[in-house]
Amino acid sequence: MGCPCALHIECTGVDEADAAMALSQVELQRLDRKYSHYRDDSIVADIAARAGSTEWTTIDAETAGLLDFAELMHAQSEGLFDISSGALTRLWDLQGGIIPDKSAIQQALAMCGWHRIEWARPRLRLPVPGMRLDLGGIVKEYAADRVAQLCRDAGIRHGMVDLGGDLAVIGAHADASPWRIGIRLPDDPERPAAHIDLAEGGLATSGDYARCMIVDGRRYGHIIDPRTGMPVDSFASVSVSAANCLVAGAAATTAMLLGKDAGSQWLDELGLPHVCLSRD
Amino acid sequence: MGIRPRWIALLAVGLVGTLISGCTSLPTVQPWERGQLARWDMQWEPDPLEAAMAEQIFFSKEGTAGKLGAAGGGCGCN
Amino acid sequence: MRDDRSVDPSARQARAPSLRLMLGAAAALGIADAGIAAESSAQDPASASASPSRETRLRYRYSEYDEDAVEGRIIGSAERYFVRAHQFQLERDVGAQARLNLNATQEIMSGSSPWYVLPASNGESIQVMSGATIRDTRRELVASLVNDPDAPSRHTWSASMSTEDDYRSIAAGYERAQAIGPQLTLGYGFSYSDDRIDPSDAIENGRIEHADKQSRSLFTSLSWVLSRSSVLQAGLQVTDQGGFLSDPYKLVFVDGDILSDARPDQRLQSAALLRFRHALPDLDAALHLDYRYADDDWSIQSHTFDLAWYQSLGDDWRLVPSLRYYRQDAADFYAPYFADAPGRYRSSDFRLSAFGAWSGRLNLRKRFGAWEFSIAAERYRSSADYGPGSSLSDAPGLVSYTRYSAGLDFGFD
Repeated sequence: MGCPCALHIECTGVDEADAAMALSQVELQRLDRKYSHYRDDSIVADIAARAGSTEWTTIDAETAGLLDFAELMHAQSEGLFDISSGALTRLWDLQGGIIPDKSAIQQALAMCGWHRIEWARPRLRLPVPGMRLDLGGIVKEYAADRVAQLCRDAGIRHGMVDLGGDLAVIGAHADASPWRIGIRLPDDPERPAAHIDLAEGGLATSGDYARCMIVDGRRYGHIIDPRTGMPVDSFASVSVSAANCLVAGAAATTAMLLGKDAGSQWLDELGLPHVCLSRD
Repeated sequence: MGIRPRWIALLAVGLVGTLISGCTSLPTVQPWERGQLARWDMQWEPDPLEAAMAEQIFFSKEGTAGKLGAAGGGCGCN
Repeated sequence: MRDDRSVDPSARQARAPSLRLMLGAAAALGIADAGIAAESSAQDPASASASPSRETRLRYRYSEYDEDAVEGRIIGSAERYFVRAHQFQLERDVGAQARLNLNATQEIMSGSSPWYVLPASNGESIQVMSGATIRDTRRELVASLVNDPDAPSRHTWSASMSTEDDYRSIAAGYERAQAIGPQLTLGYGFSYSDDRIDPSDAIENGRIEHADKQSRSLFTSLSWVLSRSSVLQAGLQVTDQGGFLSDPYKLVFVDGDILSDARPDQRLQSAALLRFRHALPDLDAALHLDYRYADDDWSIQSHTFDLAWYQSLGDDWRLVPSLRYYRQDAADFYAPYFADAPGRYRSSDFRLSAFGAWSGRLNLRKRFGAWEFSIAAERYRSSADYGPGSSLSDAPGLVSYTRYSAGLDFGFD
């Protein structure tokens, strides 16, 4: 998945741990193959290949569930949370270090927008050529939840899945104490900003520090505003905890997109515990 | 007299420089990985009152004193 | 007709978001139980607020400091200093952007202190103690204000005042911390202090009636995160003192005469510091290592090593043993007594002699909800044998003490 992953479990036997480890690896590999942005044989590539044609793609139940979730988030976020922005994501190739010019951004914007997508379960069609889904904002979180669920199903009671900062709790520590997650200032390594005790559910962090480029002293993060096609100027990071990592991650991204005041207000309305950090 | 303070300053600057250059090869520690550093017992001064009292005593009983940061008041202690 | 706007305008009607719907959609994917709301974590104060909330903290310490009787031959009272101290601290937010820290200290001191040293016929020395028992009270107030404690760059302003019957010190300082990279924080600042001494019995003892000294300090530090469980800090500090730096209460034996303590009116000190913190989560412990090297133009060099182990025992108990070693060279105008007249400067103050000191401390803490109770005991022993010096007669006034403290910390939102 292109990020450091960790599985913390507390159990009585080595066999149990090995089994959980193996299960997790298989599941992560499966999801990576299926949804990767970078693979040609993923379902994302398959759908994109038919973009602009009259052909429909039949969607499996799991992906349909993710699309339904994304559609709901699109509505809940007033159109800001949008998984149809694959063209923009590609344009802002973050490894490149080049800022795209205005016309290219306008062009990419015309290839984005969930409202343009025709989604009638189980069939999906991207009507504009060049249109592309980007499931990067939900798959990693979903994967964390999936691995946690698989571990629970395998009888693991105490543990936590950490996929590069997207966390899903399998269960509290063996002594019933919660997992303590430290939230640090993105640019200030020295001091703790806060910590969140997580006994269950998930925690996800969305921010501009993890994958970003700095050009002429300006910071360009990986969260692109679908209204402007530009990376958002928002919090340095937003961490949200929720009943699962998927909801936490989508909520954190939405808060980033809503910006400093509206973002934390939106999270307050949802009643989700969160820590928003700003750069001054 | 007067030479050594300059020498030690140079030494320390060199030391800091070495550590910085050595540290560029260290892995980046992401904010969410810093839970351990947020612990009470990982602060520079977990117990500020104890640190202040100890500092005051050492200041008044030893020939050299000082820790980083804005210093408090002196005393006429003997 | 296709809409060219990338955001569907119909989706932009303001409506309250619904967590229930989101959890429902997630539950359809078969992950986690949508039923478990994040109630347990919502109770955590750190996680429930939009910005990281900071507690108001109150701390109190009572301590007793008791110096050992002077070893070796003495004239006068062997009973040295005894100090009772009360410390109060209040730490709280003022507005959304600043945090205030107030520290008040009161120390009540009594006892006698080393005055001067006489040579004995066998090459040893006799410590003469101050005649009358000294009684004094020191009161100190330190206030500091940190602006925007959560921002990567912070400013700290501080001011302090300390008074005794015969002494007054005021100080002010500024410090800035600045993040200069994802793992690095740069700190720098300065402080200034102005001290005034008015010896209480100046006239009858022929002491200076009043005198001033000033101190200016510049410092810088670099802290960095080495790994997810360790941090290192390196710092430099230069302090320039000027004015009356002698001790008006100390005398010096010079070839049969008893003269006043006389030190240069300038002193330039520099220090390099290293601090290391390492967490050992498997042991639920942390290791602290501190080192300081200091040097000045009175030719006093010193090394300080500090080692502390912070051990958590279950949820509520903490045990912190620590060990410190200090050693210094003598100032170039120091001698216990002078058989021949020295140059312009002379001092027999044991604090300027060559010595070493070991101290050990044990601190036990117990939490009760928002309260934390703390008790500690410390033993400090200094001796010429522990350092570069050679024998008791080099500095007969060296101090050893025992200190006990007890206190309460209280934190609330």
